[in-house]
Amino acid sequence: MTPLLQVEDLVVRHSTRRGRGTHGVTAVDGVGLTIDAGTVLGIVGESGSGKTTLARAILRMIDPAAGRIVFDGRDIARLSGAALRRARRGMQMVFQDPYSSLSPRQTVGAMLEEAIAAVGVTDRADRRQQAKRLIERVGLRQHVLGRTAHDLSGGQRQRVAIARALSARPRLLICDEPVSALDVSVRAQIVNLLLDLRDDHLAILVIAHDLAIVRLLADRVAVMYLGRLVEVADTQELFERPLHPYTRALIAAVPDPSPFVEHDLTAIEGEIPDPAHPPSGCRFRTRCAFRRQRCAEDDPSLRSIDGQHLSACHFAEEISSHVGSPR
Amino acid sequence: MPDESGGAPVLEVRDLRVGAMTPAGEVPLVRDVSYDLRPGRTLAIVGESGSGKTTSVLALLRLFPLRSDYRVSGTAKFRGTDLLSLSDAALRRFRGGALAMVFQDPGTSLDPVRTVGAQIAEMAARHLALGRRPSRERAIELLNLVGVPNPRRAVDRFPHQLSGGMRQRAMIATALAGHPAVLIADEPTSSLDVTIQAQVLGLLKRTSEAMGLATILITHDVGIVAALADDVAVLYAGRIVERGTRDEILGSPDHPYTQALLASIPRLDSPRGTRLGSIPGIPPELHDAQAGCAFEPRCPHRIERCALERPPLDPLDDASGRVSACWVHPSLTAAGSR
Repeated sequence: MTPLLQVEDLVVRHSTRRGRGTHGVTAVDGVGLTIDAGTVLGIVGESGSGKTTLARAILRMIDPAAGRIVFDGRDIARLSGAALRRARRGMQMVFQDPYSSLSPRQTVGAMLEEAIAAVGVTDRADRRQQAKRLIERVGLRQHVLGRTAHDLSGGQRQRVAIARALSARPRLLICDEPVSALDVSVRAQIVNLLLDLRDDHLAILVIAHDLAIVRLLADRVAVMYLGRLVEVADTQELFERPLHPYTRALIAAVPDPSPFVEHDLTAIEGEIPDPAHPPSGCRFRTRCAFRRQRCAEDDPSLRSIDGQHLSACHFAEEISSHVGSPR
Repeated sequence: MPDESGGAPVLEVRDLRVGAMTPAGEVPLVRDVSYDLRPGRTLAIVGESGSGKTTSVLALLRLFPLRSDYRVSGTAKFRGTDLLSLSDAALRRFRGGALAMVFQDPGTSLDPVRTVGAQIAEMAARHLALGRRPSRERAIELLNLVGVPNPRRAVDRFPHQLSGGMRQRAMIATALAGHPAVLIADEPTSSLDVTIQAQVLGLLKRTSEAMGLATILITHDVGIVAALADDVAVLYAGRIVERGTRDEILGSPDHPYTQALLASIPRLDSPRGTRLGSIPGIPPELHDAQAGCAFEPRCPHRIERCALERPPLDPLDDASGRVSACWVHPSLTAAGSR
């Protein structure tokens, strides 16, 4: 089966002016990933890892410097104008903050009907009918169609943002921190909605710093660090047998909500380095508990350790056989 | 509250009520909030947006937004002195000194145009009556204590020259500079990455233990409660609905809201595709008119009485200091066990 989305060797550069002259920062550095139709890929990593830039580049909100983005059989990295817009319709984005991504004055109904018209539905009655169906699909009642975003709660707004994204009948939904601006109980509602959409065979790329959310949603998880993928594996495999020291550190840093246990707050030292000056060799080595001489000299590439379990660590096999669960 | 430390409370809050004065009348944000805080212990105040958790602690230090009109009643005795009846000038001596605060976003609570060293030194100078040189040395010591690398260089940096994690460490150093007895931390790590959060939580835990601080931790994150808290108070619509030790609240929650809140959080070992428990509906508008329990419209255990009469915050049993405001007490009946 050909994947729905295939990203190959994607490179995105930002040029920044800092001090004297222009510095190029490679925010995404040779990333490759695939998403099959109807599956969920999670991307995790700290701020500055490049995960949001990667999502924006896939949507061509930012132009990549190199690489291919093959969506539904077409390389959208090479398209422009109307052809790009048509090809891109199949991918829709849901942002973190439903307060700034929705127009505050338009009614929800008008907003949805506008989005439905944009994909070529000319009949007004048709548009109304579709808007009603969309609002039900995201778990809201019809009367919300007459409200403005201003009148809605955060959770209701995020549902409306999802309904608007669905109006283009996408095959891939890209969600950048879809629940991190929401309250705990409302988060659960949106996570459950995304799970329902996935059951209806919608593919989802979900970016989140909350590992527990990704664990629930994703079929497969990619871990990003300083512009590179350092580990990719099926979700359960990744959480139970992480094969990169960075993944282990991320999992170990999540505070466990269980009572009756002593909570160990050992964290990895240091912070993510300046992407303009990444360390030589392995980019994670400056914070790595397993680092050795070779790590400073030799840049590890992402390779298969065990079938579909990929890791960019020279010593992944050793970690696999010697170290227990990170928690 | 169970007295496990044996120490006398450093802060005793009783019947705290905070109302916001609006053109439409007074909106009660916090009602009937009472708790004791003991040295060396951490009380987590847990709730969602609008529950009043931040307002309830800002009221202790009268840290309200400018040009806003709040009415505060009740008592909050810090070592016997009622903070709520002090004049503004008298309260200022406690604020940032014996009672210090760490906010969610150090970007807005540190002064952007002064170096972090100057801000820490000012607190040390004001509350410990140190001179210029000793207070600067104290700032360097504190930056070192909170794990800022190169403290002698960092002391002359401006907040924007530091990363988010380092700014939060500097904020904690500022709070510690006045030798506080009570540390109030309002969502201290929610703007940080999980790796940096683990560093800062570890720092808070180590320093509060080493200095014997009594800590109020405001958070919505149950993982953070589990990692840092000794005691927990759950706030809903401005009132405490349940209070007990960490293990009581997380291990066998009684109030239906606490139960629902805990069921809605994903855990790292939940298998893929697990549907989370979600609470139907939204929190109520904060008006006084409500006769019954504020959670009644969303509650799976509600009975007729719940809409008519507000349940008092009563002890759950004789043995512990555990209290829960519910007529049904689902944790005591087979129907309510999770």
